[in-house]
Amino acid sequence: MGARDEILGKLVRRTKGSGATGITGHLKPAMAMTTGEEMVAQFRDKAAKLSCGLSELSRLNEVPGEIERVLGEIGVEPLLHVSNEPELASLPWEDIPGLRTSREMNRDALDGVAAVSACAAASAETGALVLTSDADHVTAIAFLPDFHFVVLRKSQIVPGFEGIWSAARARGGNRDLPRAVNIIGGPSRTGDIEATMVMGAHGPRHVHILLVDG
Amino acid sequence: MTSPNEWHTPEMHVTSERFSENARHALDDKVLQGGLFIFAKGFTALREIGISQVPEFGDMRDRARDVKDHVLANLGDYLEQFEERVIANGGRVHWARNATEANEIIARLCAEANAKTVVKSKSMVTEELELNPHLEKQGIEVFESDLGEYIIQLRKEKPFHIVGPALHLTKEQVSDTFYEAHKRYGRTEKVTEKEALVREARIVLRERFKQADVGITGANFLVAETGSIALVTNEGNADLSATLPRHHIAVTGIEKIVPTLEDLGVFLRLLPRSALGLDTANYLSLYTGPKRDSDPDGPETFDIVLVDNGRSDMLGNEFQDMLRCIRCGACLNGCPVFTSVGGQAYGSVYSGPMGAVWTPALAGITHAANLPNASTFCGKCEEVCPVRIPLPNLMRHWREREFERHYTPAGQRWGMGAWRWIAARPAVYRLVSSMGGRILRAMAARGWVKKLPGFAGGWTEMRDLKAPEGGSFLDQYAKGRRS
Repeated sequence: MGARDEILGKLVRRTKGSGATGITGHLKPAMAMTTGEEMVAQFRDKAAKLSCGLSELSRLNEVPGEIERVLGEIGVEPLLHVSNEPELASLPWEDIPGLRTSREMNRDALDGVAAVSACAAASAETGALVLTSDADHVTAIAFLPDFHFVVLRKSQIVPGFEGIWSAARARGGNRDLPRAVNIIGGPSRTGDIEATMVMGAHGPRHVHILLVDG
Repeated sequence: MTSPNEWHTPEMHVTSERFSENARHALDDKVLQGGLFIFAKGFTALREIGISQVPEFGDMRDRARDVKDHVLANLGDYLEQFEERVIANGGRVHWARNATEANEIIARLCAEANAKTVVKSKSMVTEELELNPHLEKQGIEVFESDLGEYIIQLRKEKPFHIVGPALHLTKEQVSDTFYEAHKRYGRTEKVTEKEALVREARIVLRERFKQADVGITGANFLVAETGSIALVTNEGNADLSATLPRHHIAVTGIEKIVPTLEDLGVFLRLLPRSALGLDTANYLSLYTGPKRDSDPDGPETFDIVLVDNGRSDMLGNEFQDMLRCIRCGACLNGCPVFTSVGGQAYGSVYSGPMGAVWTPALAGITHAANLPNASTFCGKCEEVCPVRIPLPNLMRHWREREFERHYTPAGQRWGMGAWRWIAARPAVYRLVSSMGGRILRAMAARGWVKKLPGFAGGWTEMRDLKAPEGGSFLDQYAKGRRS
């Protein structure tokens, strides 16, 4: 008998008669159940707590100009890698003369640069952004660049993890999940040397949210 | 604790026999003692502040305990469901009875991939298996990518803490280690500041991520209904390991499974808060199968190695509760023994209260008898455990087994036997205790005994003993003095 059958056989022998047990207790806290404006306000607070930058815009068309402004503010070369998601492709990137864009998404192109992507959802419970893999979304865009800009529409904010799972399932065709579901709580960090928090461990040093009405 | 009719022999190498000696060295180590303070005070305080924001925290712990109990009672069913979903999504599942089998499977997968270099994110299970030396023997270069794990890999040490493997080191020690190790990459300048050290590791490891043929991760959780693995990190190294190399292998214990995504939510709410008082970790990621046809990136193969290595032996007996553990480290941070001697004194990759229960199960009580005794039974570990594991009780079970099987040192067994004989005979007890009182009074100077003879001398090494005054309790009771 192979290892699989032996392990499974042993598990059955050892758990025989224990059967189903009751499940008590709470699934989710109140902070994962906010709605409407309160939910959006909590998202803003939590995202700030995670050291994310945040710009509030009334229209998607304002995204290119705002990114150019933020890059200028932090003193970074205005070269931006734009993800292939349709909502970003249609934006007026050429209207911002100071901003150069690239569609290159391979690992060397993304290493250490500034990049912008869309997202699948964001959670008011923790302030985290949810990115899922698909034909137009390269998973590495959330990990290789130094500056990650994420375009988020207010209607994409969900109360908590339960909403994240629904949004992720919807992206995967409602049964399976997309290959990668990345729930991102701000810039990469480490506390591994003398328990002091240092930003920019392996992933982006800056995560900046462009929160758009609608 | 393998019963004779089970085929199974768990394998984990430990040096826990030397716990007392290691603990003594740790107490004398001034650098280490400075670092330990951070756990005892800082991490515990962070946890308390974090959970004070969530009034439902206690209820969520009940929920997590119940979900895990339910899973353990039906573990085979959930593992089969998980396996079915992984295969449906184009991945493969491998089963390993012990460390040897697990290491052979992983080495074979690396050979199939023609792997020259492997990049790893932190996995306690692969530490338990001693996977790295096994792969290195096959000529494969292995790079740990969690900063703490990378540092201790370079220093050839065992992890100090399950969440912070290198937190016993100072930045000067890390600086020396990097200076020596990074010369081979042409980095000749010695950096000393924490930010610069993090930056240097990032630069060196970024190239390893891009070059590696295989990425090996653990899995914090397995989701049965979707066939996904869940990874929880703050650095993002697990995601780079699972995304960039052409092959992804996840290695984890069979007990890590949860039934649904909804259940996963409960654990994702508990884990970062219990570890560091955080609402969330930086990166919570689910990976389901290899790169799909339309995906622009991701690994071509997705293999999961499910490791038993002694876990099934804990099912259906008094140690089953231990299998609920989610490796948050809260019990270590609260423990007066861990925060006095540190993780490496335990001689096992699993330290602190959880390690004192887990290690004997995997390495055998003969090798780890010291660990369940390294406890003051203060109960702090059980108080902070997110899945309500009765750790002091489990340590007590090990002590009982150890005594039954005669693994306790002869002197201690003789002493306990003599005590039982005396205590069961009131006349003898009275005689011995009154003699003892008289002897101690005779030895005392101004009411204090400074040095006891023989093996009892250990007690007076660090302190004096107050000599008894005015006869035993029974003497006084007999004389009618009851106040």
